[in-house]
Amino acid sequence: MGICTFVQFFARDGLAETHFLIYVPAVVAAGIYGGFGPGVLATLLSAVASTLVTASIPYSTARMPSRMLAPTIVFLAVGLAISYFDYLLHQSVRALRQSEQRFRLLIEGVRDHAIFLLNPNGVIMSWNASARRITGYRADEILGKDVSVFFSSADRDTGKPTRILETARRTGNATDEGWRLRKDGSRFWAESSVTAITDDLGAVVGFAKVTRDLTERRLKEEAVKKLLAEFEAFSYTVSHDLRAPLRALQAYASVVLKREQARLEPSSAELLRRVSMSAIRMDRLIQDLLTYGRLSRQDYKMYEVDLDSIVTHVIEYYAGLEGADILVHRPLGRVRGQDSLLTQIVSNLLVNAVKFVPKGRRPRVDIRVDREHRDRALLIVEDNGMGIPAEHLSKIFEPFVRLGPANDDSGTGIGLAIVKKAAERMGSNVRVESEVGKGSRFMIELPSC
Amino acid sequence: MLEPIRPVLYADDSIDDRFIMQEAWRESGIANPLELVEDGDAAIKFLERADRDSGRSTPPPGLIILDIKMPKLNGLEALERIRALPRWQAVPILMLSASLHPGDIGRAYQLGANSFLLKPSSLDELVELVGAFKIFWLKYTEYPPQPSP
Repeated sequence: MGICTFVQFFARDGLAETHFLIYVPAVVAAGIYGGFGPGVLATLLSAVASTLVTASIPYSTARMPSRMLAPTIVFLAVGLAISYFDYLLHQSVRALRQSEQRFRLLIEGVRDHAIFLLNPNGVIMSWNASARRITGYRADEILGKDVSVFFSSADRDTGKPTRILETARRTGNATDEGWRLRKDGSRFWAESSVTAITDDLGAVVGFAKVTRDLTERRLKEEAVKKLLAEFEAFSYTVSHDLRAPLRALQAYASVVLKREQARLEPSSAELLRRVSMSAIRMDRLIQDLLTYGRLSRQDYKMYEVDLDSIVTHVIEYYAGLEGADILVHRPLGRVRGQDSLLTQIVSNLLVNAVKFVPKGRRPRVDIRVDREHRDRALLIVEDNGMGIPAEHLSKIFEPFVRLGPANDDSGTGIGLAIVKKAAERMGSNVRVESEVGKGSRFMIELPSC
Repeated sequence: MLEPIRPVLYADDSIDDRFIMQEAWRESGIANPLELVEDGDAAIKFLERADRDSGRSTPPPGLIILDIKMPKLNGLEALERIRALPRWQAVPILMLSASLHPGDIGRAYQLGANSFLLKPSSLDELVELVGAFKIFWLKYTEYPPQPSP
Protein backbone atom coordinates (compact mmCIF):
# COMPACT_ATOMS: atom_id res chain seq x y z
CA MET A 1 0.00 0.00 0.00
CA GLY A 2 2.79 2.35 1.01
CA ILE A 3 4.71 1.52 -2.16
CA CYS A 4 1.58 2.23 -4.29
CA THR A 5 1.07 5.62 -2.66
CA PHE A 6 4.72 6.48 -3.15
CA VAL A 7 4.67 5.49 -6.82
CA GLN A 8 1.44 7.44 -7.33
CA PHE A 9 2.94 10.54 -5.77
CA PHE A 10 6.18 10.09 -7.62
CA ALA A 11 4.45 9.70 -10.98
CA ARG A 12 1.72 12.31 -10.66
CA ASP A 13 2.84 14.96 -8.23
CA GLY A 14 6.55 14.66 -8.42
CA LEU A 15 8.13 13.71 -11.66
CA ALA A 16 5.18 14.31 -13.93
CA GLU A 17 5.51 18.03 -13.47
CA THR A 18 9.23 18.06 -13.93
CA HIS A 19 11.78 16.63 -16.27
CA PHE A 20 13.15 14.34 -13.58
CA LEU A 21 11.65 11.29 -15.21
CA ILE A 22 13.99 11.43 -18.18
CA TYR A 23 17.02 11.38 -15.88
CA VAL A 24 16.03 8.15 -14.12
CA PRO A 25 17.48 5.81 -16.82
CA ALA A 26 20.77 7.72 -16.65
CA VAL A 27 20.92 7.18 -12.87
CA VAL A 28 20.09 3.49 -13.27
CA ALA A 29 22.76 3.07 -15.99
CA ALA A 30 25.38 4.93 -13.93
CA GLY A 31 24.52 2.76 -10.89
CA ILE A 32 24.66 -0.53 -12.79
CA TYR A 33 27.86 0.14 -14.65
CA GLY A 34 29.64 2.40 -12.19
CA GLY A 35 28.33 1.39 -8.79
CA PHE A 36 27.19 3.48 -5.86
CA GLY A 37 29.48 6.53 -6.38
CA PRO A 38 28.69 7.19 -10.03
CA GLY A 39 24.98 6.55 -9.30
CA VAL A 40 24.97 9.26 -6.61
CA LEU A 41 26.89 11.63 -8.89
CA ALA A 42 24.42 11.01 -11.72
CA THR A 43 21.55 11.68 -9.31
CA LEU A 44 23.02 15.00 -8.17
CA LEU A 45 23.87 16.12 -11.71
CA SER A 46 20.40 15.08 -12.93
CA ALA A 47 18.76 17.05 -10.08
CA VAL A 48 20.77 20.16 -10.97
CA ALA A 49 20.15 19.73 -14.69
CA SER A 50 16.42 19.14 -14.19
CA THR A 51 16.09 22.16 -11.92
CA LEU A 52 17.87 24.36 -14.46
CA VAL A 53 15.79 23.02 -17.35
CA THR A 54 12.53 23.40 -15.44
CA ALA A 55 13.45 26.92 -14.34
CA SER A 56 14.09 27.88 -17.95
CA ILE A 57 10.53 26.98 -19.07
CA PRO A 58 8.46 30.20 -19.17
CA TYR A 59 5.02 30.27 -17.48
CA SER A 60 5.38 26.78 -16.02
CA THR A 61 3.95 26.47 -12.57
CA ALA A 62 6.65 23.93 -11.91
CA ARG A 63 9.24 26.71 -11.91
CA MET A 64 7.96 28.01 -8.60
CA PRO A 65 10.53 27.07 -5.92
CA SER A 66 7.75 25.85 -3.61
CA ARG A 67 6.67 23.36 -6.28
CA MET A 68 10.22 22.33 -7.12
CA LEU A 69 11.38 21.38 -3.64
CA ALA A 70 9.32 18.24 -3.07
CA PRO A 71 10.02 16.59 -6.48
CA THR A 72 13.74 17.35 -6.13
CA ILE A 73 13.89 15.76 -2.69
CA VAL A 74 11.94 12.76 -3.96
CA PHE A 75 14.23 12.51 -7.00
CA LEU A 76 17.32 12.65 -4.82
CA ALA A 77 15.90 9.98 -2.49
CA VAL A 78 14.91 7.76 -5.42
CA GLY A 79 18.30 8.32 -7.09
CA LEU A 80 20.13 7.37 -3.91
CA ALA A 81 17.94 4.28 -3.49
CA ILE A 82 18.54 3.22 -7.12
CA SER A 83 22.27 3.76 -6.72
CA TYR A 84 22.27 1.74 -3.51
CA PHE A 85 20.28 -1.15 -5.04
CA ASP A 86 22.55 -1.06 -8.09
CA TYR A 87 25.50 -1.21 -5.75
CA LEU A 88 24.04 -4.30 -4.00
CA LEU A 89 23.26 -5.92 -7.36
CA HIS A 90 26.75 -5.13 -8.54
CA GLN A 91 28.26 -6.68 -5.43
CA SER A 92 26.22 -9.89 -5.63
CA VAL A 93 26.94 -10.34 -9.34
CA ARG A 94 30.62 -9.91 -8.63
CA ALA A 95 30.47 -12.38 -5.71
CA LEU A 96 28.64 -14.88 -7.90
CA ARG A 97 31.24 -14.48 -10.63
CA GLN A 98 34.04 -14.88 -8.12
CA SER A 99 32.45 -17.96 -6.61
CA GLU A 100 31.93 -19.42 -10.08
CA GLN A 101 35.50 -18.71 -10.96
CA ARG A 102 36.77 -20.22 -7.72
CA PHE A 103 34.66 -23.31 -8.32
CA ARG A 104 35.93 -23.59 -11.89
CA LEU A 105 39.52 -23.18 -10.71
CA LEU A 106 38.90 -25.84 -8.05
CA ILE A 107 37.48 -28.32 -10.57
CA GLU A 108 40.21 -27.48 -13.07
CA GLY A 109 42.92 -27.66 -10.44
CA VAL A 110 41.95 -31.12 -9.15
CA ARG A 111 44.67 -33.48 -10.23
CA ASP A 112 44.03 -37.15 -10.99
CA HIS A 113 40.26 -36.77 -10.79
CA ALA A 114 38.23 -36.34 -13.94
CA ILE A 115 35.14 -34.38 -12.89
CA PHE A 116 32.34 -33.85 -15.36
CA LEU A 117 28.59 -33.53 -15.67
CA LEU A 118 26.19 -35.72 -17.61
CA ASN A 119 22.65 -34.95 -18.66
CA PRO A 120 19.92 -37.41 -17.60
CA ASN A 121 20.62 -39.50 -20.73
CA GLY A 122 24.32 -39.86 -20.01
CA VAL A 123 25.53 -37.22 -22.49
CA ILE A 124 28.67 -35.37 -21.36
CA MET A 125 27.92 -31.70 -20.58
CA SER A 126 31.13 -30.44 -18.94
CA TRP A 127 34.81 -31.40 -18.86
CA ASN A 128 37.85 -30.58 -16.73
CA ALA A 129 41.63 -30.60 -17.25
CA SER A 130 42.13 -33.91 -15.44
CA ALA A 131 39.46 -35.52 -17.56
CA ARG A 132 41.44 -34.41 -20.59
CA ARG A 133 44.69 -35.65 -19.07
CA ILE A 134 43.26 -39.04 -18.11
CA THR A 135 41.23 -39.81 -21.23
CA GLY A 136 43.10 -37.81 -23.89
CA TYR A 137 39.86 -36.16 -25.15
CA ARG A 138 39.72 -32.35 -25.47
CA ALA A 139 36.52 -30.65 -24.34
CA ASP A 140 35.44 -29.86 -27.91
CA GLU A 141 35.87 -33.52 -28.88
CA ILE A 142 33.90 -35.02 -26.03
CA LEU A 143 31.12 -32.58 -25.10
CA GLY A 144 27.83 -33.92 -26.40
CA LYS A 145 29.11 -37.51 -26.62
CA ASP A 146 27.65 -40.39 -24.64
CA VAL A 147 29.54 -41.47 -21.50
CA SER A 148 29.70 -45.03 -22.87
CA VAL A 149 32.60 -44.01 -25.17
CA PHE A 150 34.94 -44.79 -22.29
CA PHE A 151 33.64 -48.34 -21.90
CA SER A 152 34.95 -51.38 -23.78
CA SER A 153 32.64 -52.94 -26.35
CA ALA A 154 32.23 -55.93 -24.01
CA ASP A 155 31.02 -53.60 -21.23
CA ARG A 156 28.73 -51.79 -23.66
CA ASP A 157 27.29 -55.10 -24.85
CA THR A 158 26.37 -56.08 -21.31
CA GLY A 159 24.80 -52.64 -20.74
CA LYS A 160 27.21 -51.64 -17.97
CA PRO A 161 27.19 -47.84 -18.64
CA THR A 162 23.39 -47.73 -18.51
CA ARG A 163 23.33 -49.95 -15.44
CA ILE A 164 25.63 -47.59 -13.54
CA LEU A 165 23.46 -44.56 -14.38
CA GLU A 166 20.32 -46.51 -13.44
CA THR A 167 21.80 -47.39 -10.04
CA ALA A 168 22.74 -43.73 -9.47
CA ARG A 169 19.23 -42.67 -10.53
CA ARG A 170 17.65 -45.16 -8.15
CA THR A 171 19.93 -44.91 -5.12
CA GLY A 172 21.52 -41.49 -5.56
CA ASN A 173 25.03 -42.81 -6.15
CA ALA A 174 26.85 -45.59 -7.98
CA THR A 175 30.50 -46.57 -7.69
CA ASP A 176 32.44 -48.81 -9.97
CA GLU A 177 35.97 -50.00 -10.69
CA GLY A 178 37.13 -51.33 -14.00
CA TRP A 179 39.14 -50.93 -17.18
CA ARG A 180 38.09 -47.97 -19.38
CA LEU A 181 39.28 -46.76 -22.76
CA ARG A 182 41.27 -43.64 -23.56
CA LYS A 183 40.95 -41.74 -26.83
CA ASP A 184 43.94 -43.61 -28.29
CA GLY A 185 42.36 -46.97 -27.43
CA SER A 186 44.68 -47.74 -24.50
CA ARG A 187 43.20 -48.89 -21.20
CA PHE A 188 43.17 -47.21 -17.80
CA TRP A 189 41.88 -48.60 -14.50
CA ALA A 190 39.12 -46.27 -13.34
CA GLU A 191 37.54 -45.87 -9.96
CA SER A 192 34.43 -43.84 -10.57
CA SER A 193 31.55 -42.45 -8.61
CA VAL A 194 28.36 -41.21 -10.24
CA THR A 195 26.04 -39.00 -8.19
CA ALA A 196 22.55 -38.09 -9.35
CA ILE A 197 21.71 -34.38 -9.38
CA THR A 198 18.07 -33.69 -8.57
CA ASP A 199 15.87 -30.61 -8.75
CA ASP A 200 13.68 -29.31 -5.91
CA LEU A 201 10.99 -31.84 -6.79
CA GLY A 202 13.40 -34.76 -6.70
CA ALA A 203 13.54 -35.35 -10.46
CA VAL A 204 16.98 -36.35 -11.79
CA VAL A 205 18.29 -33.53 -13.95
CA GLY A 206 21.75 -34.97 -14.53
CA PHE A 207 24.73 -36.74 -13.01
CA ALA A 208 28.09 -35.65 -11.62
CA LYS A 209 30.80 -38.14 -12.39
CA VAL A 210 34.18 -38.27 -10.65
CA THR A 211 36.72 -40.69 -12.07
CA ARG A 212 40.15 -41.49 -10.68
CA ASP A 213 42.90 -43.07 -12.75
CA LEU A 214 44.28 -45.94 -10.64
CA THR A 215 46.13 -47.71 -13.45
CA GLU A 216 49.47 -47.56 -11.71
CA ARG A 217 48.11 -48.97 -8.46
CA ARG A 218 46.21 -51.67 -10.33
CA LEU A 219 49.28 -52.72 -12.30
CA LYS A 220 51.29 -52.86 -9.08
CA GLU A 221 48.59 -54.98 -7.44
CA GLU A 222 48.56 -57.32 -10.42
CA ALA A 223 52.35 -57.56 -10.35
CA VAL A 224 52.28 -58.39 -6.62
CA LYS A 225 49.54 -60.95 -7.19
CA LYS A 226 51.54 -62.55 -10.00
CA LEU A 227 54.66 -62.57 -7.86
CA LEU A 228 52.75 -64.18 -4.98
CA ALA A 229 51.32 -66.83 -7.32
CA GLU A 230 54.80 -67.52 -8.67
CA PHE A 231 56.20 -67.70 -5.15
CA GLU A 232 53.43 -70.04 -4.12
CA ALA A 233 54.03 -72.31 -7.11
CA PHE A 234 57.76 -72.17 -6.34
CA SER A 235 57.29 -73.06 -2.69
CA TYR A 236 55.05 -76.01 -3.57
CA THR A 237 57.59 -77.25 -6.08
CA VAL A 238 60.41 -76.84 -3.59
CA SER A 239 58.45 -78.59 -0.88
CA HIS A 240 57.50 -81.36 -3.27
CA ASP A 241 61.06 -81.92 -4.39
CA LEU A 242 62.54 -81.52 -0.90
CA ARG A 243 60.10 -83.97 0.60
CA ALA A 244 60.77 -86.76 -1.91
CA PRO A 245 64.34 -87.63 -0.82
CA LEU A 246 63.37 -87.28 2.84
CA ARG A 247 60.56 -89.79 2.45
CA ALA A 248 62.98 -92.14 0.68
CA LEU A 249 65.61 -91.69 3.40
CA GLN A 250 63.10 -92.40 6.11
CA ALA A 251 61.54 -95.37 4.34
CA TYR A 252 64.86 -97.07 3.47
CA ALA A 253 66.14 -96.66 7.04
CA SER A 254 62.84 -98.08 8.33
CA VAL A 255 62.91 -101.01 5.94
CA VAL A 256 66.49 -101.88 6.86
CA LEU A 257 65.58 -101.59 10.56
CA LYS A 258 62.66 -103.97 10.13
CA ARG A 259 64.24 -106.49 7.75
CA GLU A 260 67.64 -106.68 9.36
CA GLN A 261 66.55 -106.32 12.98
CA ALA A 262 68.05 -109.66 14.00
CA ARG A 263 71.43 -109.02 12.38
CA LEU A 264 71.93 -105.36 13.35
CA GLU A 265 74.14 -104.26 16.23
CA PRO A 266 71.99 -102.27 18.72
CA SER A 267 74.17 -99.19 18.16
CA SER A 268 73.70 -99.42 14.36
CA ALA A 269 69.99 -99.86 14.84
CA GLU A 270 69.97 -96.72 17.00
CA LEU A 271 71.83 -94.77 14.31
CA LEU A 272 69.32 -95.89 11.69
CA ARG A 273 66.49 -94.88 13.99
CA ARG A 274 68.06 -91.43 14.25
CA VAL A 275 68.32 -91.16 10.46
CA SER A 276 64.65 -92.02 10.24
CA MET A 277 63.61 -89.55 12.97
CA SER A 278 65.70 -86.74 11.47
CA ALA A 279 64.08 -87.25 8.10
CA ILE A 280 60.62 -87.15 9.69
CA ARG A 281 61.53 -83.98 11.60
CA MET A 282 62.73 -82.19 8.50
CA ASP A 283 59.64 -83.28 6.61
CA ARG A 284 57.44 -81.84 9.37
CA LEU A 285 59.49 -78.65 9.28
CA ILE A 286 58.85 -78.25 5.55
CA GLN A 287 55.14 -78.87 6.03
CA ASP A 288 54.95 -76.40 8.95
CA LEU A 289 56.76 -73.77 6.91
CA LEU A 290 54.28 -74.27 4.10
CA THR A 291 51.38 -73.98 6.55
CA TYR A 292 52.86 -70.77 7.96
CA GLY A 293 53.26 -69.32 4.48
CA ARG A 294 49.75 -70.37 3.48
CA LEU A 295 48.30 -68.72 6.62
CA SER A 296 49.86 -65.41 5.54
CA ARG A 297 48.66 -65.53 1.95
CA GLN A 298 45.29 -67.25 1.88
CA ASP A 299 42.03 -65.31 2.18
CA TYR A 300 39.90 -66.38 5.12
CA LYS A 301 36.23 -65.64 5.68
CA MET A 302 34.93 -65.48 9.23
CA TYR A 303 31.78 -67.31 10.20
CA GLU A 304 30.11 -68.93 13.19
CA VAL A 305 32.23 -71.83 14.45
CA ASP A 306 31.51 -74.44 17.11
CA LEU A 307 34.58 -74.59 19.38
CA ASP A 308 33.44 -77.88 20.97
CA SER A 309 33.54 -79.76 17.70
CA ILE A 310 36.94 -78.32 16.78
CA VAL A 311 38.47 -79.39 20.09
CA THR A 312 36.87 -82.85 19.80
CA HIS A 313 38.25 -83.21 16.29
CA VAL A 314 41.78 -82.26 17.36
CA ILE A 315 41.76 -84.62 20.38
CA GLU A 316 40.41 -87.41 18.19
CA TYR A 317 42.73 -87.11 15.23
CA TYR A 318 46.05 -85.57 16.33
CA ALA A 319 48.81 -88.01 17.21
CA GLY A 320 50.67 -87.73 20.51
CA LEU A 321 47.76 -86.60 22.67
CA GLU A 322 46.86 -90.09 23.91
CA GLY A 323 48.97 -90.04 27.08
CA ALA A 324 47.55 -86.78 28.43
CA ASP A 325 44.60 -85.79 30.59
CA ILE A 326 42.75 -83.25 28.53
CA LEU A 327 39.93 -81.61 30.44
CA VAL A 328 37.50 -79.65 28.29
CA HIS A 329 35.05 -77.42 30.18
CA ARG A 330 32.08 -77.87 27.88
CA PRO A 331 30.20 -76.26 26.40
CA LEU A 332 32.89 -74.04 24.96
CA GLY A 333 30.21 -72.52 22.76
CA ARG A 334 30.30 -70.74 19.45
CA VAL A 335 32.53 -67.92 18.27
CA ARG A 336 33.07 -65.97 15.08
CA GLY A 337 36.17 -67.42 13.48
CA GLN A 338 37.42 -69.83 10.89
CA ASP A 339 37.52 -73.63 11.15
CA SER A 340 40.97 -74.39 9.79
CA LEU A 341 42.62 -71.46 11.63
CA LEU A 342 41.08 -72.50 14.95
CA THR A 343 42.09 -76.12 14.29
CA GLN A 344 45.69 -74.94 13.76
CA ILE A 345 45.58 -72.96 17.01
CA VAL A 346 44.06 -75.70 19.16
CA SER A 347 46.19 -78.51 17.70
CA ASN A 348 49.48 -76.63 18.03
CA LEU A 349 48.72 -75.51 21.60
CA LEU A 350 47.64 -79.04 22.61
CA VAL A 351 50.59 -80.79 20.99
CA ASN A 352 52.96 -78.30 22.68
CA ALA A 353 51.21 -78.64 26.04
CA VAL A 354 51.60 -82.40 25.96
CA LYS A 355 55.14 -82.39 24.55
CA PHE A 356 56.88 -79.94 26.88
CA VAL A 357 56.29 -81.50 30.29
CA PRO A 358 58.96 -82.29 32.92
CA LYS A 359 59.98 -85.94 32.93
CA GLY A 360 57.75 -88.14 35.04
CA ARG A 361 54.81 -85.71 35.09
CA ARG A 362 51.61 -86.76 33.37
CA PRO A 363 50.53 -83.97 30.98
CA ARG A 364 47.31 -82.24 31.97
CA VAL A 365 45.60 -79.64 29.80
CA ASP A 366 42.60 -77.51 30.67
CA ILE A 367 40.58 -75.99 27.87
CA ARG A 368 37.87 -73.48 28.70
CA VAL A 369 36.18 -70.35 27.44
CA ASP A 370 35.79 -67.26 29.58
CA ARG A 371 32.80 -65.13 28.58
CA GLU A 372 33.15 -62.29 31.05
CA HIS A 373 32.46 -59.77 28.33
CA ARG A 374 29.23 -60.42 26.50
CA ASP A 375 30.61 -59.86 23.00
CA ARG A 376 34.02 -61.49 23.49
CA ALA A 377 35.01 -65.09 24.22
CA LEU A 378 38.43 -65.81 25.70
CA LEU A 379 39.68 -69.26 24.69
CA ILE A 380 42.10 -70.47 27.40
CA VAL A 381 44.46 -73.44 27.05
CA GLU A 382 46.30 -74.12 30.30
CA ASP A 383 48.94 -76.81 30.83
CA ASN A 384 51.10 -78.19 33.65
CA GLY A 385 54.21 -78.19 31.47
CA MET A 386 57.70 -76.91 32.15
CA GLY A 387 56.66 -73.27 31.65
CA ILE A 388 58.44 -70.46 29.84
CA PRO A 389 61.01 -68.19 31.51
CA ALA A 390 59.82 -64.57 31.60
CA GLU A 391 62.72 -63.35 29.45
CA HIS A 392 61.62 -65.65 26.62
CA LEU A 393 57.92 -64.81 26.68
CA SER A 394 58.26 -62.02 24.14
CA LYS A 395 59.94 -64.13 21.46
CA ILE A 396 58.23 -67.51 21.65
CA PHE A 397 55.78 -66.52 18.89
CA GLU A 398 58.55 -65.83 16.39
CA PRO A 399 59.32 -68.60 13.88
CA PHE A 400 62.24 -70.93 14.61
CA VAL A 401 62.43 -70.04 18.29
CA ARG A 402 62.98 -73.17 20.33
CA LEU A 403 63.62 -72.99 24.05
CA GLY A 404 64.90 -76.51 24.56
CA PRO A 405 67.69 -78.34 22.71
CA ALA A 406 66.82 -79.55 19.20
CA ASN A 407 66.29 -83.28 19.39
CA ASP A 408 63.97 -85.95 18.05
CA ASP A 409 61.12 -84.99 20.33
CA SER A 410 61.38 -81.22 20.10
CA GLY A 411 59.07 -79.29 17.86
CA THR A 412 59.85 -77.62 14.58
CA GLY A 413 59.99 -74.19 16.21
CA ILE A 414 57.13 -72.92 14.08
CA GLY A 415 54.13 -74.16 16.09
CA LEU A 416 53.57 -71.01 18.16
CA ALA A 417 54.32 -68.77 15.16
CA ILE A 418 51.48 -70.62 13.38
CA VAL A 419 49.21 -70.03 16.42
CA LYS A 420 49.99 -66.31 16.39
CA LYS A 421 49.54 -65.97 12.63
CA ALA A 422 46.26 -67.92 12.72
CA ALA A 423 44.96 -65.67 15.54
CA GLU A 424 46.00 -62.55 13.64
CA ARG A 425 44.21 -63.71 10.50
CA MET A 426 40.99 -63.77 12.57
CA GLY A 427 41.66 -60.22 13.78
CA SER A 428 42.68 -61.52 17.18
CA ASN A 429 45.92 -62.10 19.04
CA VAL A 430 47.41 -64.59 21.46
CA ARG A 431 48.63 -63.85 24.99
CA VAL A 432 50.57 -66.05 27.36
CA GLU A 433 51.16 -66.21 31.10
CA SER A 434 53.64 -68.72 32.40
CA GLU A 435 55.42 -69.93 35.50
CA VAL A 436 58.57 -72.01 35.16
CA GLY A 437 58.05 -75.52 36.45
CA LYS A 438 54.29 -75.10 36.87
CA GLY A 439 52.85 -74.49 33.43
CA SER A 440 51.59 -71.97 30.88
CA ARG A 441 48.27 -70.38 30.04
CA PHE A 442 47.60 -69.33 26.43
CA MET A 443 44.66 -67.00 25.76
CA ILE A 444 43.00 -66.04 22.50
CA GLU A 445 40.22 -63.50 22.38
CA LEU A 446 37.52 -64.09 19.79
CA PRO A 447 34.23 -62.35 18.98
CA SER A 448 31.17 -64.15 20.42
CA CYS A 449 28.22 -65.08 18.25
CA MET B 1 34.44 -104.97 -2.05
CA LEU B 2 36.99 -105.12 -4.84
CA GLU B 3 37.57 -108.69 -6.00
CA PRO B 4 41.06 -109.75 -4.83
CA ILE B 5 42.15 -110.60 -8.36
CA ARG B 6 41.53 -107.04 -9.61
CA PRO B 7 44.79 -105.06 -9.46
CA VAL B 8 45.29 -101.51 -8.21
CA LEU B 9 47.25 -99.33 -10.64
CA TYR B 10 49.72 -96.88 -9.07
CA ALA B 11 51.49 -94.24 -11.19
CA ASP B 12 54.48 -92.45 -9.66
CA ASP B 13 57.70 -91.26 -11.28
CA SER B 14 59.74 -91.70 -8.11
CA ILE B 15 61.32 -95.12 -7.88
CA ASP B 16 61.59 -94.52 -4.11
CA ASP B 17 57.89 -93.80 -3.70
CA ARG B 18 57.01 -96.86 -5.79
CA PHE B 19 59.25 -98.96 -3.53
CA ILE B 20 57.76 -97.42 -0.36
CA MET B 21 54.23 -98.07 -1.61
CA GLN B 22 55.14 -101.72 -2.33
CA GLU B 23 56.48 -102.06 1.21
CA ALA B 24 53.35 -100.53 2.72
CA TRP B 25 51.22 -102.75 0.49
CA ARG B 26 53.06 -105.82 1.69
CA GLU B 27 52.92 -104.79 5.35
CA SER B 28 49.20 -104.11 5.13
CA GLY B 29 48.61 -107.60 3.73
CA ILE B 30 46.54 -106.50 0.75
CA ALA B 31 45.63 -109.35 -1.58
CA ASN B 32 44.99 -107.23 -4.67
CA PRO B 33 48.10 -106.98 -6.85
CA LEU B 34 49.76 -103.55 -7.08
CA GLU B 35 50.64 -102.62 -10.68
CA LEU B 36 53.34 -99.95 -10.87
CA VAL B 37 53.88 -97.51 -13.76
CA GLU B 38 56.26 -94.53 -13.90
CA ASP B 39 54.06 -91.70 -15.20
CA GLY B 40 50.61 -90.68 -16.42
CA ASP B 41 51.36 -91.62 -19.99
CA ALA B 42 52.29 -95.16 -18.92
CA ALA B 43 49.06 -95.33 -16.89
CA ILE B 44 46.96 -94.47 -19.97
CA LYS B 45 48.88 -97.04 -22.04
CA PHE B 46 48.29 -99.64 -19.32
CA LEU B 47 44.53 -99.00 -19.43
CA GLU B 48 44.45 -99.05 -23.26
CA ARG B 49 46.30 -102.36 -23.21
CA ALA B 50 43.82 -103.70 -20.65
CA ASP B 51 41.05 -102.57 -23.04
CA ARG B 52 42.62 -104.40 -25.97
CA ASP B 53 43.18 -107.56 -23.91
CA SER B 54 39.60 -107.27 -22.64
CA GLY B 55 40.74 -108.85 -19.43
CA ARG B 56 41.97 -112.04 -21.12
CA SER B 57 45.46 -112.15 -19.61
CA THR B 58 45.05 -109.97 -16.49
CA PRO B 59 41.86 -108.48 -15.06
CA PRO B 60 41.51 -104.70 -15.56
CA PRO B 61 42.45 -102.52 -12.58
CA GLY B 62 39.59 -101.77 -10.21
CA LEU B 63 41.17 -98.68 -8.70
CA ILE B 64 43.82 -96.18 -9.75
CA ILE B 65 46.23 -94.14 -7.60
CA LEU B 66 47.97 -91.21 -9.30
CA ASP B 67 50.86 -89.07 -8.12
CA ILE B 68 50.43 -85.41 -9.20
CA LYS B 69 53.88 -84.26 -10.24
CA MET B 70 55.09 -86.58 -12.99
CA PRO B 71 56.92 -86.04 -16.29
CA LYS B 72 55.25 -86.53 -19.71
CA LEU B 73 51.70 -86.60 -18.42
CA ASN B 74 51.17 -85.36 -14.86
CA GLY B 75 48.56 -86.77 -12.48
CA LEU B 76 45.89 -84.18 -13.27
CA GLU B 77 46.34 -84.53 -17.03
CA ALA B 78 46.26 -88.31 -16.72
CA LEU B 79 43.09 -88.03 -14.62
CA GLU B 80 41.42 -85.91 -17.32
CA ARG B 81 42.46 -88.33 -20.06
CA ILE B 82 41.27 -91.39 -18.12
CA ARG B 83 37.87 -89.78 -17.47
CA ALA B 84 37.60 -89.20 -21.22
CA LEU B 85 38.14 -92.89 -22.01
CA PRO B 86 34.66 -94.40 -22.40
CA ARG B 87 35.31 -97.55 -20.39
CA TRP B 88 37.15 -95.81 -17.53
CA GLN B 89 34.76 -93.06 -16.61
CA ALA B 90 33.49 -94.85 -13.50
CA VAL B 91 36.74 -96.25 -12.09
CA PRO B 92 37.61 -94.75 -8.67
CA ILE B 93 40.77 -92.63 -8.86
CA LEU B 94 42.72 -91.45 -5.83
CA MET B 95 45.29 -88.67 -6.04
CA LEU B 96 48.40 -89.05 -3.86
CA SER B 97 50.44 -85.86 -3.73
CA ALA B 98 53.55 -84.66 -1.94
CA SER B 99 52.08 -81.17 -1.47
CA LEU B 100 48.71 -79.75 -0.56
CA HIS B 101 48.46 -77.14 -3.30
CA PRO B 102 44.91 -75.77 -2.93
CA GLY B 103 44.66 -75.32 -6.71
CA ASP B 104 45.61 -78.97 -7.31
CA ILE B 105 43.05 -80.24 -4.80
CA GLY B 106 40.17 -78.27 -6.32
CA ARG B 107 41.18 -79.15 -9.87
CA ALA B 108 41.49 -82.86 -9.04
CA TYR B 109 37.95 -83.06 -7.67
CA GLN B 110 36.68 -80.99 -10.60
CA LEU B 111 38.19 -83.50 -13.01
CA GLY B 112 36.51 -86.38 -11.21
CA ALA B 113 39.00 -87.63 -8.61
CA ASN B 114 37.42 -89.60 -5.78
CA SER B 115 39.93 -88.66 -3.10
CA PHE B 116 42.98 -86.48 -2.54
CA LEU B 117 45.65 -87.76 -0.15
CA LEU B 118 48.94 -86.31 1.10
CA LYS B 119 51.99 -88.54 0.99
CA PRO B 120 52.86 -89.04 4.68
CA SER B 121 56.26 -88.30 6.22
CA SER B 122 57.15 -91.86 7.22
CA LEU B 123 56.71 -95.45 6.17
CA ASP B 124 54.74 -96.18 9.36
CA GLU B 125 52.27 -93.44 8.53
CA LEU B 126 51.97 -94.72 4.96
CA VAL B 127 51.27 -98.20 6.34
CA GLU B 128 48.53 -96.61 8.48
CA LEU B 129 47.15 -94.78 5.44
CA VAL B 130 47.23 -97.90 3.26
CA GLY B 131 45.55 -99.81 6.11
CA ALA B 132 42.70 -97.30 6.15
CA PHE B 133 42.61 -97.42 2.35
CA LYS B 134 42.38 -101.21 2.48
CA ILE B 135 39.39 -101.12 4.80
CA PHE B 136 37.53 -98.31 3.05
CA TRP B 137 38.32 -98.79 -0.63
CA LEU B 138 38.95 -102.51 -0.84
CA LYS B 139 36.64 -103.92 1.83
CA TYR B 140 33.60 -101.65 2.17
CA THR B 141 33.39 -99.78 -1.13
CA GLU B 142 31.19 -101.32 -3.83
CA TYR B 143 32.42 -101.31 -7.43
CA PRO B 144 30.70 -101.23 -10.77
CA PRO B 145 30.89 -104.49 -12.74
CA GLN B 146 34.10 -105.06 -14.70
CA PRO B 147 34.20 -102.82 -17.78
CA SER B 148 32.65 -104.88 -20.56
CA PRO B 149 34.69 -105.44 -23.72
